[in-house]
Amino acid sequence: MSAQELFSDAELKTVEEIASRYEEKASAVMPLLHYVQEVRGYLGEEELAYIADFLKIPRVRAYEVATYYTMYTTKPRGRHLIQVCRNLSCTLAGAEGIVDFLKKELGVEVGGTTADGVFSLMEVECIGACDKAPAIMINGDHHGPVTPESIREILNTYRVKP
Amino acid sequence: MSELKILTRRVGLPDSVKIDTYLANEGYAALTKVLKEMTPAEVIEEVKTSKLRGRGGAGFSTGMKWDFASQAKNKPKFIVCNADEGEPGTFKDRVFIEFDPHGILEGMAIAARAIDADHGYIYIRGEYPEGTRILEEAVKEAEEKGYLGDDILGTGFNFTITVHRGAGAYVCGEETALIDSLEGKRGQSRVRPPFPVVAGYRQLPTCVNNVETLSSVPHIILKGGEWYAGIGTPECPGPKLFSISGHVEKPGVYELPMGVPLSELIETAGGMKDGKAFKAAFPGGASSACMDASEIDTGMDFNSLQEIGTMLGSGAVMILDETADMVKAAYVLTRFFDHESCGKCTPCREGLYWVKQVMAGILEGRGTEEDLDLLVDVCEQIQGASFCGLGDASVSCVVSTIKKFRGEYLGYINKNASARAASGETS
Repeated sequence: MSAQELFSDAELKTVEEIASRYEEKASAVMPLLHYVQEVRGYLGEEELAYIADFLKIPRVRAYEVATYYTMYTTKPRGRHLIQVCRNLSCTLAGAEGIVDFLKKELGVEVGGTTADGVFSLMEVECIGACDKAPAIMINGDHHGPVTPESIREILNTYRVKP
Repeated sequence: MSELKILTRRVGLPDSVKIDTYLANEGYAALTKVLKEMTPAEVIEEVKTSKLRGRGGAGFSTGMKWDFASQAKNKPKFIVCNADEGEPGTFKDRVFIEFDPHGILEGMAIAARAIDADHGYIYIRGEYPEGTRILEEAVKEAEEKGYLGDDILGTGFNFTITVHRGAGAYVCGEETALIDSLEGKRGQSRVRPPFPVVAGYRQLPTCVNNVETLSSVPHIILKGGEWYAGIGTPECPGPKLFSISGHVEKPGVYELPMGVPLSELIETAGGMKDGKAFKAAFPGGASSACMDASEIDTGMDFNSLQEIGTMLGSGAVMILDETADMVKAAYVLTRFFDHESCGKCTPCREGLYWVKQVMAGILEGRGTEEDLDLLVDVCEQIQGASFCGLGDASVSCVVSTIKKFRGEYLGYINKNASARAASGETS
């Protein structure tokens, strides 16, 4: 697929702008993957190929990067990504109960997406919010300390968000 | 102990992220002094006098690192600010990023002048999208006001900064893996030497410093290295931001002098949660060996903690009270390291998988006493057999909990043995 079929003119301009921040073009692969994932929701094979060709790096390298880092996904996810911290400070504060609650509340397993496509549930390692343990992160926002009751309210605010 | 207000002096001011607030509170005064009144050699000398040691965890002399980088022949050179704080239990750099971003930029510009770099990168952890936005905005402001860019303050000094966001890989906090990642690769540690100050980003001289380290520099330039060296302990001076979490009343970030006893740090954080008794602490995050109650008065600095067989790391203090299950805690940390091993070195990649399996076996009631010897044996083979500190430090939690809380492991194992005996099975 050509660049024009994959991306709008405005998107292509942003891609150019991001790449221009780096003298070494290969260095732009991570910010470009972040950007494409932000606008597409995930990193498809054709988008990855386009980024690799654009940066003149082997396609496998873009794929490697996309699959090595935990924040990138090559598969579609729900509209909102719920990440529950499972590291020590959060575990001491009852993170396991939070995961169990979310699994029941959403009716999905860890790694799954709700049938309506609104939420995906993931367990992650430290998200740098140990002062708010147990902490969760929805998209880019930290929430904590959370309880089953507070999570219900938080989820409701996301349900209505695009 | 009362909290210090040196590194955090601007935290809490209205609009503390704005350059106008920064400028009204001694902001960029240190950079102005460095560019107009000091030679690069004098800057390095001042930082050496301060005895500032890297706040990312290694505790290496910042002045020495800058000295090495300044002597590197190749050009261009780079300053990289390591804002990838991924050590479980650490969230202190977030304070600088979200409340005093210009302090980081100023520290980077001073470092750049000292080693003769003209470009800098801030590698910020992917989980901080808000911090990324704040830093990008700060860079823009500094460029508009002439503190970054070409011909800074009319002195002919050029320096620009790019904010680069990670994507969730703990190992990228290790400087050589960070550089690999910055080059657009999977972040995996490199063998050293050559050290990054000689051959780092794009094989060019690269000086990697932690956020807190760089944020300390403007204070040192303005008040002098001797003033800084007078705070804390003689070998590990300075104010330090401690991230404290776990079973304390008020988890959070506290600025205290280096060397503050752990007991006083806990008091500063409101004491033990619900008045329970202290059982253990991981003073330097997941990577550090645990301390027990007999060690609670140890000073929180690089040397004192090293003397009792653990480490300060980035000052990520996780507190566990009498209700905590040490076997479970060690398992949670091992699971983390197994997940984060980059896979380059076999002992770390394969060893951690098996350590995790054996630990899970003990927790699930399949453990035997021989498993403890097996764990220690495997852990010893992982330590010292990897390119980077992740591998070395990954098993501290297991080794130290077996040593100090063997009884808790035996509790699981004996429960298992008696259950098997009751069912008539032979082990």
